[in-house]
Formats: sequence, C-alpha cells, structure tokens
Amino acid sequence: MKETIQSVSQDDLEIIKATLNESSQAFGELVEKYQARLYNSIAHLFDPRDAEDIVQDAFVKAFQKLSIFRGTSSFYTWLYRIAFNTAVSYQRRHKPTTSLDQKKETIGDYLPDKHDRPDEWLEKKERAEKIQQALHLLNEEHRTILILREYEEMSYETIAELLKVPVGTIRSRLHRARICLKDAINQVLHKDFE
Amino acid sequence: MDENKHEELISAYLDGELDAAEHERTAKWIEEDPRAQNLLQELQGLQAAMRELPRHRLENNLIQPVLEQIDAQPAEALYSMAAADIQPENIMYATAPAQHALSEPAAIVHANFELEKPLDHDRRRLYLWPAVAIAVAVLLMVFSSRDPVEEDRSVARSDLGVGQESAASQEATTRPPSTAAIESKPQFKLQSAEPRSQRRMSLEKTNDLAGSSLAERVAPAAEAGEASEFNEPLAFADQDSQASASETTPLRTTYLFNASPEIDIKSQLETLSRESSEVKVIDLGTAPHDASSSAVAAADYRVFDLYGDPEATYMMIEALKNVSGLTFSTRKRLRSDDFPIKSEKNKRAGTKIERLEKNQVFAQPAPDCIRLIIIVPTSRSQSPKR
Repeated sequence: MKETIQSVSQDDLEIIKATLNESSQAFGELVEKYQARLYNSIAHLFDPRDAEDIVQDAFVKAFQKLSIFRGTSSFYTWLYRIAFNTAVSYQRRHKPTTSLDQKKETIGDYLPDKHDRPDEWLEKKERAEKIQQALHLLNEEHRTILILREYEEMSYETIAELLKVPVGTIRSRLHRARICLKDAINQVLHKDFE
Repeated sequence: MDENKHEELISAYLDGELDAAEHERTAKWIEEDPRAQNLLQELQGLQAAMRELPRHRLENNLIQPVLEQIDAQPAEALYSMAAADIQPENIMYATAPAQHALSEPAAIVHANFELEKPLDHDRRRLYLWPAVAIAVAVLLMVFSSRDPVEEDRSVARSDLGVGQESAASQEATTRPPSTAAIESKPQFKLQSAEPRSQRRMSLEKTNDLAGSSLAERVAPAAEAGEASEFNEPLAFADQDSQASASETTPLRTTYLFNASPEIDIKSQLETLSRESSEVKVIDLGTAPHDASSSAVAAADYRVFDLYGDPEATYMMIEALKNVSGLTFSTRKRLRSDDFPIKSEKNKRAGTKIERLEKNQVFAQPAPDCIRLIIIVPTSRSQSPKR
C-alpha cells in the first residue's frame, strides 16, 4: 500500500476519462473507492466531527479540478492533497473548540480482525487506544507526519510535497515525532500504573 | 554528525528512504552497534502499533451528497478553477496543457481564465444564462445606487405593492419620492458578491455572450448611466471597462438583504415563491453572528437560498423589493466564517453557505438558476445599525 509518487492507475484513469466526458455519475465510482480511506485519515488528523464535510468538499473540489489533474501522481494522492488543504483552511476558519477529552471521545472504532480470538482482539484494542491517547499528547506537526507516514504510508517525497517542506526536513521531523511518540506511550502507560 | 542526525538514518532505513550508499552504511552500523539494533526494534514496534490504530468509520455514504452537490453546480465548474484553492502545482498544470495526461476535455480554462478552445454550440448556450444573470444584476444595481436621489427612488419603490413589480419598478425609477417616505422607509442597497479578481474573470467570459430577452429588458436602464453611480465595491471598478455598462457588469448572483426582525420573511418568501412557482426557497437556518467580525452587525441571522429559473427569480427579487421593511444589505458580501459553528444546525448552515459562496465566487451561475442569500436578523434588539 506504500504511496509513492506514481502515475494514476488504469482503473482510475478510465473513470476520470468517463467523468470528463461529462458524466458526473462516473465520478461516484471514485467517491465509492476512496471515501472511507480518506475519511479515516482526515478524521485522525483533524476534528473527526468535521471530517465528513471536509471529505465531501474535497471530492467536489476534485471534480471541479479534474480537468487539470495531470495524472502524474495517483488519484488518491492528488485527492488527499485537496482534502488536506481543505481541512487546513477549514481549521483556520473555524477555530478549534474541541478539548482533548472531546477528542478522546471521538476516537475511531477498533474493528476486529476476523482471525483474532476475542482476548487477542481486546488486547489489540486496548493497545490501539493507548497509541491513540499518546498521539493526542503530541503536537500537531508530529501527529500529522506520523499519520501521513505510518498510517497513509506516504513516501517522504509525497509528504514533503503535501506539507510544503524539504524532504530532509521530513526525515528529521519524522524521527523526532517517533521519539516523542515513544515517550508519550511511556507516559500513558505510566499513568495507567499509578 | 550529531547523534540525532545519526539516528535519523535508522528511521529512514526503516522506511526504505535511503539511497544505496546510505543504506549500505546504515545496515553495517546496525549490524555492529547493539544500540542501533535496539532503536531499530523500537521504531519497528512503533510502526506496527501505529498501523493498528482504530479506524474512523464513515457513517454516511458520500456518493449521493457529492453527486448532488456537483449536479447543483454549473456545468462550467468542471472546467473552472477554484481560485482560492489553486495550489502552485495546479497553476503549473493549468498553464501547461500540452502535458495533460488525459484526454482533452471540451474546454480547459487556464489560470488566467481564457478559454483554450472555442465553445461548441451547446456550451455556448450554457453561457447565455450567465448573461441573463448579468442582466438581472444590472437591473438590480440600478435600483441600489448610494446616490441620494437613487436612494429616494428606492424608498419610493418600497411603497409599491407586491405583484406590481414590472411596471411599478419602471415607474419608480423616475418617480420622485415623498419626504415622509424617505424618513420612514428603509432603503434598498445592493451588494456585490464577488471580489475584483472574479469580476475580471466574469468580464472576460461574458464578452462573447449573446443577449437574451431579459438582457434586452434591462439594457435601457443600464444605458441610462444609472448603474455607474455605484460606489466601491458596487462600482464598475475597472476603469478600462466602463465603456458599456452591459458589457462590463460583473456577474452578481448573490445579494444580501436585511430585514427588520418583526418581518416574517419566511412566510413572505414562501408566499412569493408560490406565486412564482419556479423559485424554490431553501431555509438554511439561523446562524449566530460573530460579534468580533465586521460584517453586518452583532445579531442572529436567518439565512435563505433562493433557487430557480432566472426569470422567475428575477420576478421574485422584484417582488421582494416591495416588501416593506426589507432592505438590501450595504455590508460586505456574506462569508461563511461570519457564521461561527455553535450548533450542529448552524454548522450545517455554515457549510451550505460556504458551498454556495464557492459556487458564486468560483463559477458561473448554473444554467437554470440564480442564487440569492437573504439574511434576516432574528433579534429586534440586535438589528443591524443603519
């Protein structure tokens, strides 16, 4: 699933061509294909309560700009860039009013793996929740880069393009973020023992 | 190299982001140094944990809302660029059509908004509707000059009854108002909805437009020079394009109204929309106003969207002008961030406004609709200052 700078897939290209031939319905296939993944990622990075609106806006903007999509990156990367920019400007306009506690309430669902036994699933769930809590102890810059890299599995180059910083900065920032996450996890675990 | 920089190599090694030489050096280092091995293991553990994060599940399928929103937008939007969201790379794409990887669309609008290819017949027809919208705007602007004489005329118009709009409006533009009316009635003022840059775009796009029956109806008023009385931001600000009002008028599809709190604007609108059955009134709800913002005044606003056939909408606008106590806003254009999120309902209204705003600013009006936003203070004590 690693996201690198790559050209658009043949499937997506066909749908894009159909959409450009003035069939907006065809665009629905792209929405179907990417909505869950995009929503999940945006909900991790920004206020989950805004994520649905942001994702919907991003798809509409993508539709509007489809004729200028060059196809040199995957459609998802291009869409993600639009969604990310939309979310950033959304956040700028609507100053966050969410407290950390509220954010904790809106963490995602831990979906059971069909191969997991119930006790394994519970253990994984608990671990995932700890990671989630630890992530919320990080600053936004570190949280963002970790989600983009570890969750979205974007390449350094794609992240650099998205965040508009040099690749070298991504490398050092990502490492710092990982070290901070490690400390934050220890902090969360330590708190549980107290 | 300091320790952190050194450790970064292990992170990048884990991610497969090192070049061949660095990769080889780092692999050797990890092999020889137990501390490096520990760090690599820790980072691998973190990576695995991150990938087990809980999933945020999308509750609603967005296909239908997205397609509905797209369908509600003008056909030209597909070939337009959302100016505020243009990223440098997109500008580059737009100015380099030869590199376009996909099949060519019917027309590509460049960053400078010039059409790359001539419009085909059907598409040209689509552009007729913006011309109609412009024509409506010209007529509306004629009624909203800040010139005292024009204001008096506007006041006079407010004396007219609903349903007499066409003839009555014509008459009102020449009929001097009574002093009593000036003192007791609000004035109509029209607000531009588009920043200057978008107006330029509109000008460029509309130069080739053919006329329409509605355009012909409003042309005499524009030629009479009344429109040029507008002040900034209502003025025809582009000095080089003042030769002909009908050619230089920007698209104005959004107008702001204020109404006294005691006016039941919702039922007024519903009555009017029933009379003009092709116009739909969409109530976007109430939105509290941010007192720190300069727009309008500190009050709550009821927001409506009028949607319909241009001519029917025009008739409805004219009828609205005759609703006593209803005035065009003199304030800045409505902005989505004038409506802070304080409840889910307002959030939804804010999003709708934001989308409407985008449609208006970034694209031509849809072939079959004109949109208006009406703001109505919901509190008497906080009604806008005039």
